Amino acid sequence: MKKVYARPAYCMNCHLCEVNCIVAHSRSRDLFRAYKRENLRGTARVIVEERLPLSVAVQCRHCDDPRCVAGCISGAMVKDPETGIVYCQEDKCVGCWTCVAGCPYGAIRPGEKNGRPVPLKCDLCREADEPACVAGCPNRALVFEERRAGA
Amino acid sequence: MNYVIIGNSVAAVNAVAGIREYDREGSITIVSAENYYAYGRPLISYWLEKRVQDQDMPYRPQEFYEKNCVRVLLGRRAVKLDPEVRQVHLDNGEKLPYDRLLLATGGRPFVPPIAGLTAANYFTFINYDDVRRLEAFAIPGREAVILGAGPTGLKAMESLVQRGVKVTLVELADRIWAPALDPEAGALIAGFLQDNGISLYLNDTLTGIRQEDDGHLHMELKSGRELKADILVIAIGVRPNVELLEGLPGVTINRGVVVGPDLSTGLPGVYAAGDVVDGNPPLLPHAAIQGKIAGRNMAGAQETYLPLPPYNALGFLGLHIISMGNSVATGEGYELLTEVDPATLVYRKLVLKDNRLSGALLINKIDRAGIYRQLLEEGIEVTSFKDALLRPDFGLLSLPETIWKQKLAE
Amino acid sequence: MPSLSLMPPEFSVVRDDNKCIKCLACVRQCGFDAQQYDAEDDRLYAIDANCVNCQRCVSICPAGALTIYKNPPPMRPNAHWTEGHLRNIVKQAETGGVLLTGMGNDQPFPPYFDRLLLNASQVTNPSIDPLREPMELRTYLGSRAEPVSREESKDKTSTPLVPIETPIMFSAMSYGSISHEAFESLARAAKAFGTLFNTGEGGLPGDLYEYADHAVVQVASGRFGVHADYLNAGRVIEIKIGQGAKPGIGGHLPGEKITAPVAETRMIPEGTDALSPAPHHDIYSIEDLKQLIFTLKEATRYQKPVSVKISAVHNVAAIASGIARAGADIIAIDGFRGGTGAAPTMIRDHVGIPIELAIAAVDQRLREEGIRNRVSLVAAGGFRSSADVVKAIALGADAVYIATAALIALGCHLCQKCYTGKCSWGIATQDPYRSRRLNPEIGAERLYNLLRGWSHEIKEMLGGMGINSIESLRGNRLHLRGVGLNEVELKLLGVKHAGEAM
Repeated sequence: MKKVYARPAYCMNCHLCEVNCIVAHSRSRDLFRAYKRENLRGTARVIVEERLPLSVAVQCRHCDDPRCVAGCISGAMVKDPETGIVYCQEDKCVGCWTCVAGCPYGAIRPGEKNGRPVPLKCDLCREADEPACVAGCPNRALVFEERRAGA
Repeated sequence: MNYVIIGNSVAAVNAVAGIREYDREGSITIVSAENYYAYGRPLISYWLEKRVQDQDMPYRPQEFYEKNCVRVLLGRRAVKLDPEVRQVHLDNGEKLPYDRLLLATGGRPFVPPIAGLTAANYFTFINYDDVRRLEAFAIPGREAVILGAGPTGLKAMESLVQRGVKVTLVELADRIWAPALDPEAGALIAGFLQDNGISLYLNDTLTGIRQEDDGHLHMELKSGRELKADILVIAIGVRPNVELLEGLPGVTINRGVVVGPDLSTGLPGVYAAGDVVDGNPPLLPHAAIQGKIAGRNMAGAQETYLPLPPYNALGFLGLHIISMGNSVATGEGYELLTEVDPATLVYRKLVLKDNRLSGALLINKIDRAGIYRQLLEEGIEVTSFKDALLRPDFGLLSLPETIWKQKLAE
Repeated sequence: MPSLSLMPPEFSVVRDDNKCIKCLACVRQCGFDAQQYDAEDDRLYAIDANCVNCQRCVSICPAGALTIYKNPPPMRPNAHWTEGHLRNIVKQAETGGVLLTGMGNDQPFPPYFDRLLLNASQVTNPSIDPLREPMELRTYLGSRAEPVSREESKDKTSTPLVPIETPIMFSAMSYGSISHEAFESLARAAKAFGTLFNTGEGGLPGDLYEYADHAVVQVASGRFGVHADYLNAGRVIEIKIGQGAKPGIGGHLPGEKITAPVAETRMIPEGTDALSPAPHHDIYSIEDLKQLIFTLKEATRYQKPVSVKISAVHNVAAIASGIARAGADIIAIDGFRGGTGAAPTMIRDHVGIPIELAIAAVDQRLREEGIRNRVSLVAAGGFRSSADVVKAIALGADAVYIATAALIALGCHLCQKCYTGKCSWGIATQDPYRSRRLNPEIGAERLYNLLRGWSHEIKEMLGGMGINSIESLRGNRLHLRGVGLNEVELKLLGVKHAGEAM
């Protein structure tokens, strides 16, 4: 499957992937509304890790046998059998955070949206052609591509 | 191929998915003692406090069964297994032939002998029917005693508290959730519970109970203390439901059913997964993973289940705990890395042995816990990045370059 | 440095809090620590005194919340004591040092390119549509053999001509002064477009030898990174005598920029200053130069044309004649607008002559002496557009070198702080945190686009003049007319005034 791959050599630590992720996952899809009305600052589903000068955007790898799905007590977290995308049906999540304990990449963080728990994890912007983090990366440090047949 | 799955919870549903990865044709029948399609058992506490409604209980949508062509027999019990002719007998007399059978019967609550205890004066807290029954009793102002302050007892506590019930926890060990919490963490959480108006009696247990004329329950504890309450919940553990295989040739049963690396039992074509399996921690991720692998193997794959250390996430009253592995080990050979901030109820402890992660306990700061779990399961040596393990910015990049590069390429 | 500077900050960073989403991209991207974040108060603020107006924060801000304003003059306006002079004096009063700067001369000397206009065909001669008819931009660099004869030439010392697909090359910028990423961008673009880049005086990094066939490999007074493989790998060898931004002085790459890979490439110890002497210590005459030219040709078995690069100075025509006679195949002349990674401000702004006049003078002199065919003439120093290129070629150049324009294509905002090594755009820095901002993939594409755009425009201009080959334009000054130039200037440029007929 097509996944987002990070190219750390070109990651310049701007964190715009986080900003674009937040906007893409906001109700309004508008930068200012997302941050100033919906208060979504800090809710990105991609995390830029820093060990300066190195930085790299870490996000869900959409595992073949995802631990987050195996551990989900409510059945909210699923892997789409067609697309391979691992995503959370957010209205089913109860916020037990077994997924957080499961993710080997640390790519799921506990979050909250409108008073409800939301696991902050990448869903590859399921409805878009290209994930927002990739589309908005100013230095092509993130690419969306197929690297391994069947993966 | 004829697949029969006894049990209808997480292991069973994942087995269906596992089978269908390899076999789209064979018929699958699930025998469910309960009258519900599979639901995540831990959801019952959320249901009781109405954070989850009936329609959100199912673990998988109805179309999952349709898409995978699964026949589900609800409210049916398997009463006998005839390995000679490969048939399983149901409680209505029906006999189901099988080529492959999965025992995914889970466990049932252990209820100790207590003077005066009758089916009518206590609740267990393990399935949907338990909380449906409990719902009518759990009304504001009432009082409840919960026997057992492990994960089940604590989730029962939370849901009752949220419904306005005053809760007293009675725990035989010297601290809450003793297998996962060390004394310091136990004390931290005990304080948190008391701040939330919960009474807690440690080193104590229930020795007698009687129903008084006014309907109240009068309970006596080992310590001599006497408690009065409206509700008693017993949550001190589960026992595997192994009856179906008991006494059959080739099957070994200890506490649970002993399985081989491929999750097969000694009986030809019979596999087991989940809480019924001997030595398996009764935890949902483990049941799901075993179910998936058992399903694949039943359909012809040859996958090995490598026993996973326990890991568990537990939240109550806004507090979140993740524990994994040997989180309470101390003494010779163990190195402890800790971060404690009682003011914010943050407690983070990593247990190292031979410079490898052996256990972890994280309270209220659980971000990136899965990386620890992975380090623990893979037995990765942490010497070179030990200093970074508890730093606030710990992450994939804290690991050796070869590891994080490989992980990012997955 | 006194605790209180007498000079207020040159720029103000203004943040629109209505727009700012506190993503901190500006803080992370500012190369000069002007953008700050106070985590305790969750507050962003700017230290204006640190701001160099490189516009990195403005460009990266996803909210468009930042504007950098030039502060009003720090003193009462004075046409003689301009702000630049005032700031320089105060800075020197505070530090006692030589003023340093980067990029090219930014003073308002007259740009002759802007006083020259091109011709176009009307009625009596047809113009050519480059979209419909072939149009040749390929240019051959090197020495044309003479005389042409039917017999096989006995001359075994001629070097091959080097074709470039457009008369534009990337000028010398050394690895060390610019980042590996910037260097690689130039190399990749040159290869993709079929032109040449220039290693500057810092050698060619080992991992970029795949681009060596498109490299002009420089040999400068410091001889950094010069070895037999380097010379033989390049397409053209260039002896650097001078640089337009700082004629007559050497170079100084501070030790902080000599990181391990730079040190390896330059063949000097890590962390030591790389000092290029002002002269080549083995060249004190044309004869000495000739010796070096032929040493290099011998070393490369006469397979590499040798270029000699000089600054455009007062006596440039005579010097060029000497260089041609010394056996150079290419003469590169760098005008006073040429850029640099570091130069004393006074030198940069006050030494040298305009490239337009230098090209005209050199081309004229070599023609008069009948040796113009012996060398290709490459002009450099401040080419801003394809029109500048066309005008330079009409004045007599074979091709041009561009560097500042290339850097601008890569993101440079001309803040002139190259010498600090803190470049926010990842160009003039060896700090990996900064340099990784320039992805060579993107850099190469942008440079390629620039070459493509300019080349298209050159074809349009040529077509308009009724010319279908860049060769036909070279030295064809009839296609130029001056505006607002005096008699001396017109004579030196060899052009008529606008309005004068053929």
